[in-house]
Amino acid sequence: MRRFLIFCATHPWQALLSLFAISLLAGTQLNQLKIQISAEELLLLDDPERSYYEKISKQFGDEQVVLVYLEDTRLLEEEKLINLKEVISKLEQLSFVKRVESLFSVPHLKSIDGYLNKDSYLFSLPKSKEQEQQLFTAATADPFIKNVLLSPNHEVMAVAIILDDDDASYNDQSVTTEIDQLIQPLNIDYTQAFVIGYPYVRSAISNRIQQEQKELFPIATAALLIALFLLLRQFVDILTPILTSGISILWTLGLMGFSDIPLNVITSIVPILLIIVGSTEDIHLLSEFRRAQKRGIETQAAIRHMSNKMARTVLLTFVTTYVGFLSVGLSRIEVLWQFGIIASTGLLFNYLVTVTLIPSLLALSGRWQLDGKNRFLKSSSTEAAKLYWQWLYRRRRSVSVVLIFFSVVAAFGIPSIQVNHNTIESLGQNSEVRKQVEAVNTHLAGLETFSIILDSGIQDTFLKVRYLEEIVEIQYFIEDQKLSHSTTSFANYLSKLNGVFQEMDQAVMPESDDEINELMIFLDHKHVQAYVSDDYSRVRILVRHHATSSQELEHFVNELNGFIDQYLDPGLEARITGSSVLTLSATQSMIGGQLQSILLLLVFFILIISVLFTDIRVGLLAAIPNAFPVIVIFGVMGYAEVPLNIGTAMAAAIAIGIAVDDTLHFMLRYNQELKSSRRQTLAMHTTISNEALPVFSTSIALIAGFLVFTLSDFKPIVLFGALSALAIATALIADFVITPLAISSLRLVTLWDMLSAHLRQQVIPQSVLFRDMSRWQIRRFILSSTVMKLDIGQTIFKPGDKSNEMYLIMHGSVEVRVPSKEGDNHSLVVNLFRAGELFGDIALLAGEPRKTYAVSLEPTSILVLSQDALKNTTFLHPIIAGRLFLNLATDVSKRWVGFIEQLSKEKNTD
Amino acid sequence: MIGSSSQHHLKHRMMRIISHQLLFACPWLLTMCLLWTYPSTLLSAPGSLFFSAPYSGEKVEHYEVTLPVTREGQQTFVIPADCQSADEALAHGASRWGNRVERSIWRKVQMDCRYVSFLLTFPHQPLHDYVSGYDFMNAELQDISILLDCTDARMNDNPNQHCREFHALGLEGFSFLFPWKSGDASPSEENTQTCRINNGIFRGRIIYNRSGTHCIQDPKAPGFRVIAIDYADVNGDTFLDAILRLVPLGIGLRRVPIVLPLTRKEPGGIFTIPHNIPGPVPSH
Repeated sequence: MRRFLIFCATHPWQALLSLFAISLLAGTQLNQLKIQISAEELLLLDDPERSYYEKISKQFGDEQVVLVYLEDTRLLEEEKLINLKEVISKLEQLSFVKRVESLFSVPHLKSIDGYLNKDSYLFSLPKSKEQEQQLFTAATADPFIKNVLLSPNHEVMAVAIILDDDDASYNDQSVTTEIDQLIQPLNIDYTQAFVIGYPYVRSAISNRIQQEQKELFPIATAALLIALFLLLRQFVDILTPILTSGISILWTLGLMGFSDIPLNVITSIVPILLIIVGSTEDIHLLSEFRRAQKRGIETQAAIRHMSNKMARTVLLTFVTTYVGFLSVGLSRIEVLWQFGIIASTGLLFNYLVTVTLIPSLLALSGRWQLDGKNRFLKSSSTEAAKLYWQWLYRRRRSVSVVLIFFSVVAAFGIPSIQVNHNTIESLGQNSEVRKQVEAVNTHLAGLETFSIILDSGIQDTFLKVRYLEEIVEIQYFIEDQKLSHSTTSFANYLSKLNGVFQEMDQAVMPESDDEINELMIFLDHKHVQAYVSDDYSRVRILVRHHATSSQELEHFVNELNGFIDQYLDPGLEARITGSSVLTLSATQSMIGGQLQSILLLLVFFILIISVLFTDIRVGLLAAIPNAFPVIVIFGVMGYAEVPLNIGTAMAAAIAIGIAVDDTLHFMLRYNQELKSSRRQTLAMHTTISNEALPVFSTSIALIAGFLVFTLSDFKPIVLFGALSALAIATALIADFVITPLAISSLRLVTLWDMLSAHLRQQVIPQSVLFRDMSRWQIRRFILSSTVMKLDIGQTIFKPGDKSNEMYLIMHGSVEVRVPSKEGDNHSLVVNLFRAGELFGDIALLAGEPRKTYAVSLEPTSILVLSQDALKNTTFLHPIIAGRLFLNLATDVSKRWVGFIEQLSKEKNTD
Repeated sequence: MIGSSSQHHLKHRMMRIISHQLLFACPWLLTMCLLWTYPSTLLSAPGSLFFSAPYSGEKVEHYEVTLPVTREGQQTFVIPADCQSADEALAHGASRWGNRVERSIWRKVQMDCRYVSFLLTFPHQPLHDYVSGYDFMNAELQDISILLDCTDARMNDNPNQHCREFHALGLEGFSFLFPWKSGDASPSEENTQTCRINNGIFRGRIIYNRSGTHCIQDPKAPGFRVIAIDYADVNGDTFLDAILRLVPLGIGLRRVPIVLPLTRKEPGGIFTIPHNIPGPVPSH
């Protein structure tokens, strides 16, 4: 990656041309991009329950219905009905309309002279108020009318338009436009007249998405620009993140167009997300470049410095964020799967664009800088970092107690979180569609339905009174519990027919199987095919409900399942299915999946950090600052009664994915600083100082960007934005408080530091220290030590230094000299140490101050073996420690033997 | 004079011719007048009969129904035109095939065809008519033998005779139409009245006690509706019979119309079920 960055810096025009060519290609796919909202995309993929629902829908039919809602105190006035009839006849002529159901079409079953009459309720229009009242009474006694096409208070009437599923020529827009046009005249006759149904809800959402893209996109860009301007004050640095985000958005939208993935409620946030998230790596890269530039390094060298320092870090942070977004795509819900794939691929694009565009742009324009005069954080920040760290370290116990207290308080709020998703509520308070849905839910049984399927597997089961009574019992239970205002079934139809044949003014349940057989003579199966299979072995109870929230529906379904489990005949199998029930299970699965994603992400992060720093403890400690924002978010949600829904669950997963970036930057920087600084405190000062600007800048930019989502009209997106901003703010605190405290006691050594080919092939076999030790034992020990890189002539220690360290040369050579009274030039060379050899052991083992000088003779890497590391090894790995001490003793003895032999030789010479 | 005499003769001859013609035409006119007074259904073709269509229950003059006649085979019948072939299929045990609903429809076809057969078996004009003048739509129950029950000996001096007729109708009696009855109850005067069909409907409870048969009208009680009254000589005894089609009303009652032929041999007498009516087509 480092080489790629340098290549782009040295060949900027080629790199920019490549970006332009790909962007052009992506641009050609934009016209393929669709905006599409469908109920199916919120369902689980490969769900057996969904397959069952599809099977049931095929058998009993599941039609798309649009309701014409008419409200008036005189619904049945002749003139109004004449106009309505005319509108209905026009609606019936629309190509996408399968049929229209209303009081003009639903048969009013009557017995006339002993024969069944099926003329509709409005076959002849009422001429007087008395006739109107009679019609109302008859219609509201019909379970297929009451709360479905007529409200019990006789003030709301509905006309159900059943859409033709087979007609692919229409879309939500054409449906809503054509129907709205036709019902215009009804607005004059009725107090309130509107059309509502899922095409309308989807259409409203789709329009809102387009609207919000227009509104939020510039605001998000502006928020980012303002944040960057306040923090960086560099024209190129402000422009670059916007450019990288813009290009990656273009590529992502092109990919969506190419792969037929539509823009929907969830995927529509990807572009804005890319603007916000995509800018973070740019800021880190640019900060490093500017830092080098500030030190007077010329542009190309500064780019090389940036590449050396940041290439690996940026790759790692991209991987963690990528995994964070990709984890959302592990969901079995189509819309989340699409989001995960698109958002993660968008990030990949952003990463590629960033590593291509930034070195290219900097190579061309990097010299245009303001010399850092207006930087928010200036060079004096090192001093501030030092003071801050001193303060923090001194008060680490108090700070820890405060943080633990907050975490515990937040954790107590977590159990109060309610899982709840409400599609209609998510449309926003002022949504006209929401108000219309609420009107339908208030006056009629509601827009939502589900089915209770009873199945015996035996032909003619439901032509027996005993089993029909099972249906009725379930319906009574639903009615008693006031769970729904309308349930309809085969039993209802049969009772209605029986009532008519008995010439009763009410539906009467048949009392005997023979009676049912007689009734069946006069019943055409096509009239009841929505409720009973043609072999009468399976029935459906259609439940209309207005439970718009998943919590309410879950309660409903649980109550129902409880009743069914307890009372249903064991010969019958009952299953509850329907789009609303599937959406409920999908919502629960979605939320569960997101929580799983958070856990997976934390585990992944722990693993990656553990592998990267070759120590599981580092991974676990690094998880603390990232677990903290999650606990805080969920705690706030619990206390503030913010429900766990698609938006809020996703917020935590994505926020973690982003927040770990800063932790990684911090730790990798600390690791780099440790290599050039033997003192951990000094390394920490520099780390805090160097990371303050980019981490603070990216966090502020992210917070500003996420807060833009709070301007959305969709509640889940508002909550997503607010909680993500909170998560980033908390992560910022965690990164500057928890992360330094957590890692300050550790000697961070990365995998590539330790497992370089040089170390494996030369140092380990040569070193006396590791004689007769396995590779694993050697690695365990090395991981607890520090690697230092030395330039030529760099002094490692000098006489009088107090130290508890000894050193193993991994690469290069070190000369140890005894000081001379005549000066350094006359000092006596005691020994020359090469790769694999140990030196400086006296201070560690004897506890004496240094008596000699140790100076590197060439660029050298040394492994620092501290007393603490040896103590830790003795405590944690006694076998390794025993072998080490034996090897150390052997080496010291050999050196003593050598020293004595040399003395003897010198004495003999003298 | 001659002139006047020949004119008179001519007039006389013409009068004689006319009077002869009139005398010759009189029986025809009388017959026509008599036929004019007959109920229209008797004279009209079977097409004017009405049935409840299977599956829809609507009032139709004929209906088409496809029913299983063997384990695998099906046949479509247009009732009443295909009643003969339907009866033949029934005689070959066709009604045992198919599902519950189809078997029920077979029973309906059987009853409908039986109704048609009552009307068409003896197409000659009967010589005696003591039935058509009676208002069956507002009949007293006691007049029309409907209170008789093969199983209820108290109401019948010669139960065996009635039972034979009931069996010919495929019934045990009509007590299933009035499931509530008690001889012990003593209803108050204001609640009871003569048991009578009102405009084709009877719904009420029948009380038997020592003072006779009384009814308590109750629109929710079981009963029946007269859906058709036709006239024909069902047994070829030259007496015109009335054929009533009744549909039972009330919870637990079956819906297929009951065919009740009634006759009487003298004016003002009690209606009874005609003797020797053809039995239903035996079905397996």
